[in-house]
Amino acid sequence: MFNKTIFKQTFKSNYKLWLIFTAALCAMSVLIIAQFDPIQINSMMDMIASAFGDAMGDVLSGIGTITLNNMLSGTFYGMLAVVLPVIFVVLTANGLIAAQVDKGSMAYTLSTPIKRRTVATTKGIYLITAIFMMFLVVSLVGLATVQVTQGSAFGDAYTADVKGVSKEFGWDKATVAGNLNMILENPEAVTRGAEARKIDEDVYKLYLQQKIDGGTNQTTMTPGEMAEFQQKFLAGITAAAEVLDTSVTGLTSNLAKIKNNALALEAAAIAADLVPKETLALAPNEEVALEMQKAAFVGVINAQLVSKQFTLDAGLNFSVQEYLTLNLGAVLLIFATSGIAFFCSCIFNSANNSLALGAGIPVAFYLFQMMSGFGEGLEFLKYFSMNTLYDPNAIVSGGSFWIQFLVLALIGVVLYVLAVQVFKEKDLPL
Amino acid sequence: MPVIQVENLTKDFGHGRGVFNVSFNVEKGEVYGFLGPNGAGKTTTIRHIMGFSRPQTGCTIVNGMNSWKNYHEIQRNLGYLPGEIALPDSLTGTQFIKMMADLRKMSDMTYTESLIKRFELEPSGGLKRMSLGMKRKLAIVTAFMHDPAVLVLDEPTSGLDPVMQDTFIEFIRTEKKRGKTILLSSHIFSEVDATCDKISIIKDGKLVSTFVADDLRHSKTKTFKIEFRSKDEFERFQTDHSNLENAHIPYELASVKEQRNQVNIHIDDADVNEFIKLISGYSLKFFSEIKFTLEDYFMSFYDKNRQTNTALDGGKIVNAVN
Repeated sequence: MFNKTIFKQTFKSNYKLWLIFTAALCAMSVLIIAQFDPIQINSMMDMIASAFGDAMGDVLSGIGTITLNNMLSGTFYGMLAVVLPVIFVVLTANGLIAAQVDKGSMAYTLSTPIKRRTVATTKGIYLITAIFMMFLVVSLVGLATVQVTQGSAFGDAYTADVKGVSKEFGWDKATVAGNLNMILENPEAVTRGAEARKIDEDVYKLYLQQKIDGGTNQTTMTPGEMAEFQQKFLAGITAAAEVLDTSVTGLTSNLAKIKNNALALEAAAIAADLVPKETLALAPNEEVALEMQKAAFVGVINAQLVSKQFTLDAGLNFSVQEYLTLNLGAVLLIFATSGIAFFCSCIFNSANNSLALGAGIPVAFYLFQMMSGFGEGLEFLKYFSMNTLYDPNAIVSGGSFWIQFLVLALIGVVLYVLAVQVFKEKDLPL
Repeated sequence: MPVIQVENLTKDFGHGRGVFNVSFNVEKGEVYGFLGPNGAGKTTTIRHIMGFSRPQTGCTIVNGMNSWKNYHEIQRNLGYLPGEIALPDSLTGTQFIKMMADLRKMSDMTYTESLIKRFELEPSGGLKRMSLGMKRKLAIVTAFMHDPAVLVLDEPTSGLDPVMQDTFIEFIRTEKKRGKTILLSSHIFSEVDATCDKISIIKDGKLVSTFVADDLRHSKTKTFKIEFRSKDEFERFQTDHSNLENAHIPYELASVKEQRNQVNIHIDDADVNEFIKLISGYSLKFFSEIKFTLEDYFMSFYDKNRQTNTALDGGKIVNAVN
């Protein structure tokens, strides 16, 4: 079933291609992980939301905070980790059997007392090993990169302000993160930390205080009160938007803008009318009442900004288990795809035919999967693509995927078994 | 029992291509020539003997084992030299030899070394950059390295220089003396002529002739070319020939060339004295034997415009005037 000499020879003639693709995949993975900045990407999402208006904003806010896992599932595992290995698999599978039969060099292997089954099985084992090793290396490099650049693979991740302040003052990051008072009690550190987070100092102080106190303030409002409060707040923003001549959605994602414009703040504060009447009655004159309204509105804005900072911190969260599951799914999809390519390599005596079908089918699958996302009219195409069985988004957002994994594994196994059987029984032009 | 048996082998690829009802046996110790032009079905037959192809009907048997069913068993005592030399590019010659030895589970490399020396092979370079001749030599070494009792050689000398061709033919002769059974497919007459005991000619997928090589070499009928000194003498010979029509003629007239006053005639060895007496009555310019070669015989199956048609009769060669 397995022949060491054939495996060794196969390895020798194929390891370079493996190295190239594995290195490329690792490089992409490292780049994508290293440049991941939760603050930047989430504010970018807000920007996109505001640029595209309310409809898009709703869609995007439905996604929630973008964590590293989310981002990887959409970019790396949604495309690169599928396309590159598929190219590798198609090229390698073709070279393992069909190209050698076509060229005639298979004749030498088969003019020795080695069974065809052994030849095909050994070469299949090489291909499977190559795929699994490729993703093992990519996973390990990815985890290492997450740990080095984000610090969140194993143990705690440090937020931008903790990193910035620690660097400036030569403090230990773990110590600072464990005792945020170190920052709060040092005005210079607060300035530096607020800079790192790209927020105002007062908001930053509020954030630090809340974090030290242990999380966000729990609201005591009833749903009715909450709705009324939100309506008032929205009225304020709408008024401010009119003054600033901008869209409501755009302003929602950039609340600090209201704070920095006296006119807008005044309009918003009046429109929102957040201060209860009894409290207002205590004001000695109109001016003080307006100041109270303004202070209340700023307070709400600050609270919103602080809660956004907490959301961003959540973006740093990284789940090793999800990451490994993403890789496992990709491995299984590539394994099943390699089954198609290997099967074609075993059926055809011409390398061109083997390559045409071995590459054509996976490419068609990829295109069908893409097109099925273009609209409801094309959604049926997903049933004609094996690639839809690997849904990275389902993995990071708690969808079901284990059954699909099992199906992919089964497809791969069946194709490999069939491929060996076909190669055993066919006429060889050697 | 024959070492290689091909029995009623048929493989139809359509459009008249393939092999049809081919049968022949190669006995132990025999060098068997398999002669035919490109595309006649030599390689297809060999693929079946090697167990690479499944016969449609009939079968091929090597050392008593069915080629298709026991393809891996027959390889233990079989050496194969493919017609097209396609070696794996990624290896050096040395690595390739090592790989073949490993695949055959060989440990003693002394015989292989002696073959490398004999064929002046320099295996250290990469296979991609090797010359065709060097690749061919490498393929020869790997076919013989495990010293198999049976050898299947598909056009073994194409790509070798003339000196190396002689070395190879000499090598085949010594292997034959060592009792090897060899099937040699070729379209090069000299190597078949020089080595083979028995020859089969294949044309359009069918065996058209099978014969013992010595019968061809020592044919009892010989062909002579005669040129007369003058037109008169030439015409006198022809008139005499017509007059002799019903009497005993000690020769057969094969062809006549008017312009050059030449005739070609076949003479049976038994009639040679009588013929010399007869021809001494004419004034001749020259008198020479046309050697009948394997090539002539072979070509007679392919070149329909030729004057001489040679047919096979009970394993002996009989030349008849067309």
